[in-house]
Amino acid sequence: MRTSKLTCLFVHFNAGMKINQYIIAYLEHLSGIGFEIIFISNSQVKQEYKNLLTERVKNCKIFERENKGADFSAWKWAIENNVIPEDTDYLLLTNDSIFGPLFPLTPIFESMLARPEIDFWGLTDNYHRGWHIQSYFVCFSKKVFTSDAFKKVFQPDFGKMTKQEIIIQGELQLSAALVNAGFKGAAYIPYQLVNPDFEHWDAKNSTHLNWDQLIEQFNFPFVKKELLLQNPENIQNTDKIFSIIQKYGFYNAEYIKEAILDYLSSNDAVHSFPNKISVLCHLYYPGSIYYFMTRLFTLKSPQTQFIFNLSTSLYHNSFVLEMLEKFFPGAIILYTPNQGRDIGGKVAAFEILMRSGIESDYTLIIHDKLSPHTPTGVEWRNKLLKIINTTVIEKVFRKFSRNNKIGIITTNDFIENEYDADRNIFTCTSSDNIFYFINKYKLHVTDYKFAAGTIFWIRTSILRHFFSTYPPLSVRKEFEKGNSLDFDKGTNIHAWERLFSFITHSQGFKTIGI
Amino acid sequence: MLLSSFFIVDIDKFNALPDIELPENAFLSYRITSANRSHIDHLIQKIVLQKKNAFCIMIDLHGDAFKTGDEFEQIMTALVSLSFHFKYVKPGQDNPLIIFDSSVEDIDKYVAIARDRFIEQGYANIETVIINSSTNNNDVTKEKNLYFRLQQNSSGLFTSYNDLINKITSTSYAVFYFLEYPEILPDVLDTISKVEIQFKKESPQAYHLLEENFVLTKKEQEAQNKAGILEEQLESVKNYQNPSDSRYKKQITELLYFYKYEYEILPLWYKRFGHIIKVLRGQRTFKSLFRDNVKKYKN
Repeated sequence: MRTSKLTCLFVHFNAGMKINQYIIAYLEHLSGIGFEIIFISNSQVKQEYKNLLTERVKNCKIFERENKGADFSAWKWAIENNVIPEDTDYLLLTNDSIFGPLFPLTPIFESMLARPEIDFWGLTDNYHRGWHIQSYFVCFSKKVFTSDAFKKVFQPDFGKMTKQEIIIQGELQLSAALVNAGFKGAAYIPYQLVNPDFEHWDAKNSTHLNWDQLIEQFNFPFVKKELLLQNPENIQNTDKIFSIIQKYGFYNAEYIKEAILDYLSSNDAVHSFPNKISVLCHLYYPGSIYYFMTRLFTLKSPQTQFIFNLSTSLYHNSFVLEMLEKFFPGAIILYTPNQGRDIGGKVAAFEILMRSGIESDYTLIIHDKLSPHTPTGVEWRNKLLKIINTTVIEKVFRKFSRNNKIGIITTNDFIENEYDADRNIFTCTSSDNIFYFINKYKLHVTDYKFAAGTIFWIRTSILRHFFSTYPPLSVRKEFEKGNSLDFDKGTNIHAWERLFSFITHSQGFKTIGI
Repeated sequence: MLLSSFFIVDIDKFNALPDIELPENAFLSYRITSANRSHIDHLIQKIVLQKKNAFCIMIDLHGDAFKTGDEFEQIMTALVSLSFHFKYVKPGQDNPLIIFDSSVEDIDKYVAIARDRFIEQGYANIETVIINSSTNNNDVTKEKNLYFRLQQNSSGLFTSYNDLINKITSTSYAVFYFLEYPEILPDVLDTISKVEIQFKKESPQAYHLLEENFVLTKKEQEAQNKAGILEEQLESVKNYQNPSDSRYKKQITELLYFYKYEYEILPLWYKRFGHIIKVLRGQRTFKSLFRDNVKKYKN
């Protein structure tokens, strides 16, 4: 390795034209182990950051190009423009999608480069849609990156492709083409080491689902940025990354915090609404908090009062609290015991809203809904959160103002009706609980539609009217403690998921979908 | 601050508090008395948006403050609401702290009422400190809760606090500063700071022992908090056991994939056409196409 010429093609993008510290640290490390860095940015970069990069990273050339075709397009550009030095022995393709290295990379390079039978390698592999090396970090020997097979992979115009097409024609095709050409590829941490009994049809992305096992068991040196920021698969233990980093002591966790701050800042926006709104938001899951915050930015306005209720994990996370206070400066923040799950949190929030004298026309009832570990979890989340998309919010206000009979607005897909008129029961385990409350609160209901998922807009007057008679804490004390489920038997919490709509209908309003 | 310090302010004097950030181990305590309890909602309105300082409530039971248990119950709902604020002091296992200032013999009755109201809202318990500020309490050899009553300025505090801190024999003290005039809080903090700096110079060993105790107490609390988080996460994992971990993993996953890729992705108009076909085939009622509160499926 010491005598070989190592070149790295690093792809970067930042809408704010910055280079975050985590990138500089990564490249500094690569440079330190002998790589010449070719820094290709798919965005413009401010001069101050270019200066910082060249000061900190020896042997670094910076190129800027248009933002088209993601990393594969950038690598294609580098190949076509002969940016790779001719005397390069090993070529590393990597990008800004990873935080690290959490451990020194030298042992990995020494281990893999000492295997002459391996022509190209990466850190992890994936079997989804065929075996391939994951492209965030791939290293090629000279005979590979100078081969026709390699060059052919980079011939398509990635700039005209969607993200999914780039994955198929770039990432997947790269490994497939090289293997077909007779080259041997390998992963430093093969998937079968992580999940020995896996079946190909069920193989997952180990950098997401097994992220902590990779680090703790295999000294995997990175954590995926997408995992911490967007967390598309709703992995729920990602907040422990900071304790892991502290445990091994090689990486500066402040780099990740800076990146999170940058991610939130780049998505932040303030709007203006024609009506006053209150947002009663229960936040439970630390794994998806930053992504969820970016979704809530569509609601920020001078007319909005946020009330957040936090879970234990989030309450004791000082960085999350710092971000909430920074990006939602006027928000009321609560921490209540876990009673009534998200509904208990929302009722507590309404209690505070009433006591604080804050007025609003409409209230958004929302929480960081997810169905852990289901293939449909992300789609469900996105559908439910449709009602806080910018264009949909405008529609919501219009519907409320044009039709004063509308009491609740939710996503169309989540309007349900479980009432069986023939048998006079609700076809859910909480039927008895629902009837108990209908009788207790003397509700006159003929329309049994309800907003499933407990994410909806409601006229604040409906809640005020009800809770003025039945104080929020008197309602809340009947909720079950902890993460009560209704799989086997009914619960008051799940009854209340239906009750919001029944209360609304009892007051002469209706529930509609959007 | 070396010792846990509570700065007591009557709830109707909230507006007189200066806008400053308290140091670590220092807390505001809003005192509710029979005279000022009508101001509770006003306090809540003011406090909900403040994020700087940790606070708790002190209930003053002197002088028949709450003549009946019912009167006391009435303020409990407000106190529970206040405890929901993320800055409310929750020292041990996230149980809220309530300070009772009382000379009454049946103080346990009031504590029990308070405990019940908080438990029914999901708390495991409440942390209580019972003091009796009607006594002249600054004898460190006898008491663990020490009081200073401060009027218009903090004169005399330097000497008093200096005497006190030099007599400390253990670490389990709490100091209560009753501020008749909340405006003097910055001066009070400044005085305390000066005393502790002097104490550090004159008795460095004792100072560092107290400081270490504070650090360790904080770590203990962090460990308790972490245990609480892990318990919450474990409960979540238990409840949401990944169905694909079961022995029906393959079948469940195949079903879910079928639902997602063969049904869910179909356009709505196609699904609705299917509903009409079901009606024509006698598998679904005609009325259920237009109304929800009717029988949907024919047996």
